[in-house]
Amino acid sequence: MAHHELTFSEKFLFPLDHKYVGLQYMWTALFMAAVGGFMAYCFRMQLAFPGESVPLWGVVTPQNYNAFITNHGTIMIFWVAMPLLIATFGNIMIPLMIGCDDMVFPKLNRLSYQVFFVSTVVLFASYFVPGGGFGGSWTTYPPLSARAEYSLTPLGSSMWLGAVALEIVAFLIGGINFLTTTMNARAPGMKMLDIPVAIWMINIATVLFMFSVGPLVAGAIMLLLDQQLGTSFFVPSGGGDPVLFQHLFWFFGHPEVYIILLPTMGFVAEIITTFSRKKLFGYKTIIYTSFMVGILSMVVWAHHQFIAGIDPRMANIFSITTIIISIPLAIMFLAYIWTLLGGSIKFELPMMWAVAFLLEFLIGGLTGLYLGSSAMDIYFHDNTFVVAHFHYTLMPATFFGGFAALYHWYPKIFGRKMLNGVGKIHFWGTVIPFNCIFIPLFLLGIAGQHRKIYDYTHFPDLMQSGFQDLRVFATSSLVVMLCFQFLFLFNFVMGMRLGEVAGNNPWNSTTLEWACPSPPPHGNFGETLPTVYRGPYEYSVPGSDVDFLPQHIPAKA
Amino acid sequence: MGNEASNGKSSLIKIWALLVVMLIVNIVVSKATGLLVVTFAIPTVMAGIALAYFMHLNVEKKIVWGVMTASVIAIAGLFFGMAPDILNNEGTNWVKCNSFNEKNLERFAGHSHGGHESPYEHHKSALGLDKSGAICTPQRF
Amino acid sequence: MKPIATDRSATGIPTGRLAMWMLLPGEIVIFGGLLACYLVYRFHNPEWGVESQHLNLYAGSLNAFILLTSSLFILLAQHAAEKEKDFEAAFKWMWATVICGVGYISVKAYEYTHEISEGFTITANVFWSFYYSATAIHAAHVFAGGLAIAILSFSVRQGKHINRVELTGIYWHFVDLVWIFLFPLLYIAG
Repeated sequence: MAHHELTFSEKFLFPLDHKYVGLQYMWTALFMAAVGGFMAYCFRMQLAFPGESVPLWGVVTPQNYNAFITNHGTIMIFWVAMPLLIATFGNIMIPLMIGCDDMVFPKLNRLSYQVFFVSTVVLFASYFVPGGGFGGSWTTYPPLSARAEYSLTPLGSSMWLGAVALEIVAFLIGGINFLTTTMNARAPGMKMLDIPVAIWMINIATVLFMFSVGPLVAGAIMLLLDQQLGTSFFVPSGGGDPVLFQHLFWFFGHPEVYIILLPTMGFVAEIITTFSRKKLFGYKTIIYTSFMVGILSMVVWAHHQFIAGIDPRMANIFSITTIIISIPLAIMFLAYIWTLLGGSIKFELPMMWAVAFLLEFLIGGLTGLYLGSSAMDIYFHDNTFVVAHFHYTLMPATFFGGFAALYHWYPKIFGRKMLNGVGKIHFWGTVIPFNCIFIPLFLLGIAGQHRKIYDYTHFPDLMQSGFQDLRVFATSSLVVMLCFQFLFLFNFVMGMRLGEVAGNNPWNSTTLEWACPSPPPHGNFGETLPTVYRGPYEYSVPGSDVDFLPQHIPAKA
Repeated sequence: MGNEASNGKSSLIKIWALLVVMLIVNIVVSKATGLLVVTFAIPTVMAGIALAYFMHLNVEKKIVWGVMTASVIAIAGLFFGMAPDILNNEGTNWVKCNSFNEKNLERFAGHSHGGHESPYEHHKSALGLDKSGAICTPQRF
Repeated sequence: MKPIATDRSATGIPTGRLAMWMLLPGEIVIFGGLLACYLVYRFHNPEWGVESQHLNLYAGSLNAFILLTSSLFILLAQHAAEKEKDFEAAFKWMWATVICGVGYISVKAYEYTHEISEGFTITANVFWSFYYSATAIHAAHVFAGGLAIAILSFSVRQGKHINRVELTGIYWHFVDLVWIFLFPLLYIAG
């Protein structure tokens, strides 16, 4: 089987090579992050300076506002978090870390990106049709979303729904590839418990996705029929029940956040072992607790519906399961802390982002405990406390974890490291403003500020002294944080030319992806694919003269 | 080898015949007795046979049965999680209607099919529609 | 230009079949989600029993029989291709399956036409909304499966991609199984 030099079309237009498919996902995700960030900028400017013209946009009308908050959420979850964490690193890293030459179904892989690309186009198109983009929140609850006379976006709502449905199909297709490749195409000698945690996590996330998204696909079809044909699956006047849609949505929606979290936990495991030169503490425990998190995540969904009118007895049950799910997560967290303890820590950029993720996610997770209690939720539902909670969980998972993984594997993908000084400025310029955005939102939430409100000047209780100042402070911090992201863009692009040349293994890491050249050629490992002789985290092994033993180096006789 | 091949084929045909018989039995018995447990137990057994012999799960690794069962359990979990809300009208702030779309109701009001009364005439009381044909009536509370 | 990865099998299950065993649970939760919704509504609306009597039990039963038989045909095709190496016979059995699929869709089209002309449209009642959406999605899967088998048949006739007969067969059996449940659910227990 000849590995020829790839043509332009085979690299950038219609790639079959998993690395280039992964890069397509990555560029799309980074672009969409800019779009989603711009939307956040616009709606926060409206909240901080109500009614005033926003630079680079103009006046944000109520309909604009609704469309911005809806699409900000939709884009960040479906077009940034999933493509960046799962599709990019799943595609690029799985064959490299398990030691094979490509995914098992390259054409299916290419197809998955093509479907994803179409979904992105449909989403953008939905903004330009008469009526404008959908503004019924990323949760798209009916009857608002089911009837054009309520949503006021007859075309936009269906196109938005179609875009999300296509994105789901793209990930189902891609997911089959990830699972089959991991299960079947592993290097000889790589048993299940020799698989790096990052790969485990991407696969567990994929399984969770495939099990939980089905009912939402059914719900989306029913909602689409309600919108376009006038059926009444979810419209009470025709015999439907809106709460049914909520169940279908959150049955997927809750596992979705763990689908976003788990890959980042995996990347962080790779990074903390490499940069503390220490074996992962409790590898098996981490794997088993991730299974537990996955299974439990499928029985907590109605905590998003505590106030929706569900049966209070069910609210009790879901409260209990929600509190229980913090246990396996806490165990995983402690295992990571134990890995760091006593290690010889090097604060390279990937490690800085990984530690930042752990600390910020801790805050997010702890605030989730408050929200998991159905009684507290009576006060907190639809409140910016909830917004701050999920940004303290999702943003570290998506962006801090995403940056950690990008800084860590950039040398492998592009052959050079990113610039260190610029990277450190970007790091602090992101982490500090991030906290300045969301701590005010916790405080305002406790004071009773609702979310999804266009103009707080209409609510005297929420215009008490200091409140608007907090909003302005949060918005200004957002602007600052967004400005610092230009540094990342600069670093990403210029690193390919100016960065320090990385050899095969710039971080002295043990896993298989560091055994091939940087960047890897088509076919990854050349004529002979690697064989595995040990587990993935053999650092600082007593009696060894080097402080790491790569997986593919045979044991000395 | 000839024997083994025809054994393979003939056992396939036997299983097919068994499934067809079970289908017919299901229809006849269900219609006669109206027992729901029969209506669904027979297809479940048919599914098991089809999975085992048609899809060769009897010789496949056991984990595949586990994955199939897990997906069914997930759906069962969804059903039981949703049921208390959907099956209960207490606490809803809306009136659920009996979902006759106005256009269709007009179409059938007084419409005869060659001498027979409209199919909905005798359904109206079963469906909770009052004599005026109003679309929305309060549900059972 | 198949990657080496595609022929590896650390699990012992060939890659293609492993992929099918992942596709099917995904499909089960999609159909299962729709049917769970139907069930939950059905318990809440016992008057739907009256609606379902307007469904054509004979057509539904005929369709169940057609699909069961077509499952047999694709298995015979697999047997012919894999064990007997008789690719012409495999080709014929695969087309027998496809024709059964066409038959299924024709019967469904007849049913739909009749029901719509009587005024039982998709918006008549939520029962009918479920009936049309569930059976149409199922019919779309029958169509897709039939198309895949039809396209594959030409390669199989030349002795290529023989392992894929089993894979399309597994998909086809799944589609058959969905009807084995959907038919009693809508037509009998309805």
